[in-house]
Amino acid sequence: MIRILFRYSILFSLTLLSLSALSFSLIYLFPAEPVTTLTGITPQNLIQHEALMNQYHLNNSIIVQFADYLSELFAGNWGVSLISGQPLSEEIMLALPATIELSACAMFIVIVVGIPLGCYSGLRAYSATDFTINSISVTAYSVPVFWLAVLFILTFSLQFGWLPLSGRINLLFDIPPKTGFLMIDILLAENVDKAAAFSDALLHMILPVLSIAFISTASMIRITRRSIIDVLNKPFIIAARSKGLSSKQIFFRHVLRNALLPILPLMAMQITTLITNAMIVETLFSWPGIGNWLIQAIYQRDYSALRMGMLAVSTLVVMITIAIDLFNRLIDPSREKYESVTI
Amino acid sequence: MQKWLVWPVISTALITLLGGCSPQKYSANYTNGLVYCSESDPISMNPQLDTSTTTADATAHQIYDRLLEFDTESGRIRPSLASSWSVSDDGLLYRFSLRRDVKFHTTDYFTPNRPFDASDVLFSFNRWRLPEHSFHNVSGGYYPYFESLGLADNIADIKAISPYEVEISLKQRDSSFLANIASDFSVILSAEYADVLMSQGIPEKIDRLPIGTGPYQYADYQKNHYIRYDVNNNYWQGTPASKALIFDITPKSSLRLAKLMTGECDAVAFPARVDHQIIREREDLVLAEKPGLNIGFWAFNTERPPFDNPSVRKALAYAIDKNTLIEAVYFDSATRAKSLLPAASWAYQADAQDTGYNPVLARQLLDEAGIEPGFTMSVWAIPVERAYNPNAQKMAELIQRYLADIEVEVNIVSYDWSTFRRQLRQGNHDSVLIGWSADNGDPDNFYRPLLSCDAIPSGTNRARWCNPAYDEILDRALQTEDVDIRKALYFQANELLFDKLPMVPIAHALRYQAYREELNGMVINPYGGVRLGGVTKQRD
Amino acid sequence: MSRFSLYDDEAHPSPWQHTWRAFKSSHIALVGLAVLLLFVFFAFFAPLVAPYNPTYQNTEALLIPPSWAPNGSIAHLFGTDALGRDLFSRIMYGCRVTFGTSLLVVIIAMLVGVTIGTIAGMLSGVRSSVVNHLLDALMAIPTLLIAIIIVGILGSGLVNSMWAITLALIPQFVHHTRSFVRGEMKKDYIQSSTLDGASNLQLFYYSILPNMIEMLVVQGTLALSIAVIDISALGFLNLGAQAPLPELGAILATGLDAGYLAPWNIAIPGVSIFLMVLSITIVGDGLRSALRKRVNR
Repeated sequence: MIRILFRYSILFSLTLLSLSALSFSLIYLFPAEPVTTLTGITPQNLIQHEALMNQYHLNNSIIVQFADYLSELFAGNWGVSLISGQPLSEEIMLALPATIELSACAMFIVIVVGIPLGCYSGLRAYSATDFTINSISVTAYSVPVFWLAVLFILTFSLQFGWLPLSGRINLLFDIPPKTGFLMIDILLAENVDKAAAFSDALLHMILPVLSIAFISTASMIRITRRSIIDVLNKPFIIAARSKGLSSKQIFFRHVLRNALLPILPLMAMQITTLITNAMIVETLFSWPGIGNWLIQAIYQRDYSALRMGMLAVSTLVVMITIAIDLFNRLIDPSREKYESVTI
Repeated sequence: MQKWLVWPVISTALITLLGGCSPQKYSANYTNGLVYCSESDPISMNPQLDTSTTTADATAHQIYDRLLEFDTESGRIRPSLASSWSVSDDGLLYRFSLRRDVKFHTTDYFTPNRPFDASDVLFSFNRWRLPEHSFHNVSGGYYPYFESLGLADNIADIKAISPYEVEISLKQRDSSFLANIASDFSVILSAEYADVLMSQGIPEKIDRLPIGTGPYQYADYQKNHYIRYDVNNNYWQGTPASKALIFDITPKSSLRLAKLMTGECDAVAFPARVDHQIIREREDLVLAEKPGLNIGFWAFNTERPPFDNPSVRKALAYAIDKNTLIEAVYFDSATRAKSLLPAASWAYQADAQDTGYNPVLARQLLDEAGIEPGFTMSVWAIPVERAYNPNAQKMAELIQRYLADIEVEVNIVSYDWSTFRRQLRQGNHDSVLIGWSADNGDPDNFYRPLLSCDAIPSGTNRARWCNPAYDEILDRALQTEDVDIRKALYFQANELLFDKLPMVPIAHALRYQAYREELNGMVINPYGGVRLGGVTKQRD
Repeated sequence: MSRFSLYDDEAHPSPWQHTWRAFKSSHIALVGLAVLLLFVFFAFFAPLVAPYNPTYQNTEALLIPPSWAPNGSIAHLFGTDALGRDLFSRIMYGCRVTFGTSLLVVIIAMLVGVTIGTIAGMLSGVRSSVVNHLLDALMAIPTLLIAIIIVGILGSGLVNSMWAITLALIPQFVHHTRSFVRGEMKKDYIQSSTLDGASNLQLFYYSILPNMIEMLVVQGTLALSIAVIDISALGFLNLGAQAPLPELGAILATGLDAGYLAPWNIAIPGVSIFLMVLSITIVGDGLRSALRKRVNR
């Protein structure tokens, strides 16, 4: 157990190191002055240029520069945005929670809807119900997320006028961003009708969350279904059946556990897809998350922001992936690391 | 067979449930506030630093006031912070009496101790006027509007005669001076606030956390997301009825319209031309229109070969069919531009020369200039909608097709608006589709910022074209108040422009404002940015 | 040995024939295949069948509704866009761009991925573990993020977005190849070849590769559907294909500007991407279950 934890912490730090090396290399890859990409400050004259070069040790060897870069990262000095001049740490810490909030809600729906439907479909494999669920999920899986979001806006916001489409909450609510998590911020806010703010925030969430969850739920159904079918064909299920266990007992004792375990690593991959989709959907719903922020940064060629944003998002995703992997390993040490099911 | 029914039934149930959750339409009337959906981030919170409409919209009439103001109905100049003014007979001495008891904003970052007076006027003018002023180089030291008009050079002196009287003396007569003082960019800042910031060592905050005398005061700004303003409870023209004003920054025009339809925006900036019909058809939306003093044009970077050659520029001008561009891009809400001035201006020349559509002549001119078939150039298209060019991307694609006919290849270049303007100022373009909206009604406001030599460093001369003869004509036109003489001089300028063709004038467009019918007092400002101070929302 | 044999009388369908039989027993899979073939046809022959040049702007005919609408015109089957370009032709060329580039991307990613994966699978110990860790890191980075970084370095354009998607797809091929090769290496038939003195290269070419092709086809269809969605998503965000190149995502994005007046400019490109992905998925699913049926028999 301790060995596993140790191995994973090494793996984690190695990955982080390579990611920061990647983000460091961007300083020289982006078509801008290295100083500018690193600090976000465009030097006005040669003197300032020289001063910045010295301050950030850019005249030294690459190794020293990288070591310096790492220490600045840990110190929380991430540079400022090229465009707005704001500290990147502040901007990212405001944008990241918005994306996490969105993705977490979508993931919740994916699990709560996807796994039961997948189980149901797997247990009734090749029946009409299974066929229906399966066709719906294949169809849903093929919808491009940006088109789906547009269709949702056209239908639910414009045609019926039920749901709003702009951002996380009506901007007339003055909620000071303290934590970045809107629900917590509402609780902390003063002079605001909290109940109204809550319900407004929830209404704002429905469409973006559904757009993201739709596609991932479809994948989840397919993965779960296949896993259940595979497990049902295993000899120990036949053995259990011949022992005379009821199908309920068989399902909860033998099938479910064995079917869900191989799903976990695939779920980690789903998270990557889900976050990509969240980033796209954010731009359509003016959601002030990290995806929207990054896409604006690329439109504005804000290189310092891109460098840091890339590091922040990839670190987050890697962290989640490794955590799921570790969890998987801890509850089921016997399993080969990469053994997983197909769809 | 029954199992087949399960899904449709469940999904129908879900949809009705969803509908049942919110049986009435989504409504955004929680607090008494206005939401204006703007198209882009302002560059700064101080319009002195930037000529873009985006910055002017977000700041000029919301946060600040000017000495003088244009009347929204007649377009005439009327008193604002200056309660009255007088001009000497030689036109060189202007005297302004200032309004008393005008309070600056009280915010969490600044509390004023004294009302507005002459020292604030001196500070605001001297900041852009005097290079040695302690605030001149704060935030870059560029004041494009004033530099492009050469205004700083023409002011000899500004004096406070008494705390409520200011005298400005000019070196040369300038018939457009008052109009410039009333433009969006001549805002009045607080000298007291500047002193406080200077003593704290953070002078650059003056353009980020602004203090003015306008109807709304700055509260919060999230880049790419929103600007929040609180009401100024001590506004000298009467406190606005709305408690808050929000600029919801929404770059896509289709999304802005969507938000207007759902009521998440009360008014939107630059409704797209294709959507006009939809807005007109809907009873809950209003589309106001007004002839605009503007021009959309295609400027060539005359510093870059081969565009330094007038016959190359002419060839390209002959290659495009302006009428088609106007039809496809403006949907007939614009008139064809022959010279810089629209017909609404008194100096408009109806018989000005114009380039027609003649691809054969175009190719011939190119051959004479030694431009081989397959020559590649870039056309930069502004990434935002503007009255003068509602869809530059589309216009660029049309031009791309036309130039393909004369075997010139076109790369369309577009960045985010702030980056676009930065690159443009550096002169990285071959040619650009952009335009100009007048900040005041004087013809000089077209001719000088767009093409004079002084306007190259300030960044408004997109053609980067400098011609001393042209500048001299403009200077002479300002020396006199005689309309006929000025007219004749501007006609002369038109002739010169047609001969050298640093840019192709394309269209003068109507201006539009889309808003919800609950709004009262929404008027189109004839010159410059949107004014939301007097706008109220009827609540049902 | 003479070719005369009693057993030849009985037909021995090849494994591929088996798969095809199982595949065509599913009607849905067949329909999917037909639709997919249609897209393949567009991808190869768009210039021959498209009624107009996709960049030809007929400014006399802006935003004409599709032919089935009351005031539509039969001259433009799917209507025209805001620049008067024929939407049907643009969609055809769009399929060519989107589908063609996706196919190319998948093939490149597959070649690279299989090479790395095989090496990683045949090697063991430290080197393999380093490769694994690096792959973990790469696999976790969302495609969109890779694309944004590459666009930042190289500028936006279809080719640059292709690089990004190739980079994002490679790890999955590596991953699957590696686990497959690892699994096979333990099997007896490989061991016997090794004992016969086959080199690693020979082992791979003669023993492992033939068995891997099925896995690759299945993974390839999966990757293809991802590639189509990603290419069009980047086009939609204006980070991929640039005007006037007809790419389905980019067509959808321009259609959005005139979305209220001309909803078909949103609907038709969207449906095309959807159908393309759907048919790829269905064919992929069909192939997979056909293979599964064959193996189970």
